[in-house]
Amino acid sequence: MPQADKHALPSHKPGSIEGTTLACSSPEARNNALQTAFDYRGDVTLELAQGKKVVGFVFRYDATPGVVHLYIPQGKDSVPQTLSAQEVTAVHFTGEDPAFGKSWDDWTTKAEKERVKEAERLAREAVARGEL
Amino acid sequence: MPVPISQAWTVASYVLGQKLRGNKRYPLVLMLEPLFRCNLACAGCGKIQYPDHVLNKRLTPEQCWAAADECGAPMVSIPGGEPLIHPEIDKIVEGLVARKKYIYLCTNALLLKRKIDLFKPTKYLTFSVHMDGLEPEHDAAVCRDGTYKIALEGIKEAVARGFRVTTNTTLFEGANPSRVREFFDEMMKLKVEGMMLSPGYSYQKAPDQEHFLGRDRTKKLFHEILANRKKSWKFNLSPNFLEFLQGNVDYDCTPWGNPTFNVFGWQKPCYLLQDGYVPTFQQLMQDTAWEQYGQKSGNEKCRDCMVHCGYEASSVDDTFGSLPGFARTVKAAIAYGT
Repeated sequence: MPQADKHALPSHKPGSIEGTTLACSSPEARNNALQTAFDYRGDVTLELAQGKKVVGFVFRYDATPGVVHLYIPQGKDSVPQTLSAQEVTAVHFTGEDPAFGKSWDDWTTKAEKERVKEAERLAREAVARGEL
Repeated sequence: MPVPISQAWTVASYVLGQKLRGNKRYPLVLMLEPLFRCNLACAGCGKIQYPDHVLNKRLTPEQCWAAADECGAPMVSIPGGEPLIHPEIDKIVEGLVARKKYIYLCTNALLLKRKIDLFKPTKYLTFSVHMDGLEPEHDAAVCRDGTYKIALEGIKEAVARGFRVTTNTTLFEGANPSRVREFFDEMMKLKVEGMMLSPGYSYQKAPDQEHFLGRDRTKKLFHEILANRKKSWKFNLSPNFLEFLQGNVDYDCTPWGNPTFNVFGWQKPCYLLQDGYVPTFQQLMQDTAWEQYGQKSGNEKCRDCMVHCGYEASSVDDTFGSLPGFARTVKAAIAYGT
């Protein structure tokens, strides 16, 4: 089930929760927000107490004892960081949802010309990275 | 014989050793994902949809070897992402060969011809080339024209140089049995050692959840493909797994059979589901609520799954778990000519 449907969040990208926010108004809400952040494929912004913000990719969330593990972008790479779940007051799904528009249906419903253009673009990008 | 005797012997003695020690849960194949970056972007793939900074992460050779040592499985499958993109893939393989692990390097083969000089042929290394059907089906599945032809060239080059080569095929909803049979003929003409097959199933985070096969449809499809099979076809799979795919024998999943290690750590519980990560293999085995997974657990996520990473280990365990299981294997092996 798409995350946007699961959490009934209005999004500017139908089927994605990109651009939305989950507030952590209770321990249950916090747990739900962090679990959703773990399931999300893009970067998130975690709002912490005193208004501090951390931007990164949540790659692990241990509900017990309440620890969030993130990769924080640093140049082209990223570095791991952990923080206590209790510090989180809101989760903003700020990073691009890289899974959006990538389903097989999305692919087949695109016009042939668009598909060819997209495949060529992806190939060019791979060549530029030296991966093709 | 699609698998060398030394590999069959290594696996058999490993499994029997586990049985004699009374280990009910043991790994068979380590799924080692040294990176998520790929040079293809197949629609629906759930392995590559990450931000760039995550796609740029690589496991070091030392991390890969430590995972193999910690896990102890006799076989290591290296999927990804595309492993040949990894700048130290040759070093990773070299270290695993030194540990006498039987390695299946899963590749789309787009870089195989260019990088083949990095590797030396050995019984421990197999290039497992992703081929999802004949040219139109394969190119459509990977969303790029010309990929089939490049992969074919890669296979030919690797076979000519004396490498072990298998194909690795995932079948999705809408697969045409007669086209798949034709595809098998073409692959065997390339003199590959054997073919691997699996029904597609949704990665938990895959953007495409609609085109994966249900259980009954999987059995029907594989029965149509494998009934009246040709003697020339060789499969690099347990014969009992092929029986399972056709619905001739029933197994429950062995999610700990193919544990997965990647840039996030050890993945709970299996290669397809991402319910969490832990830093050590021991924690994976001890802390995962295994009873909550597998078709018989009633877990909705596992309901339709018949994928090799969960059921190949079940069929191997069946072979060595009882005399009827062993007899089933012998019978199926004779039938499949393996």
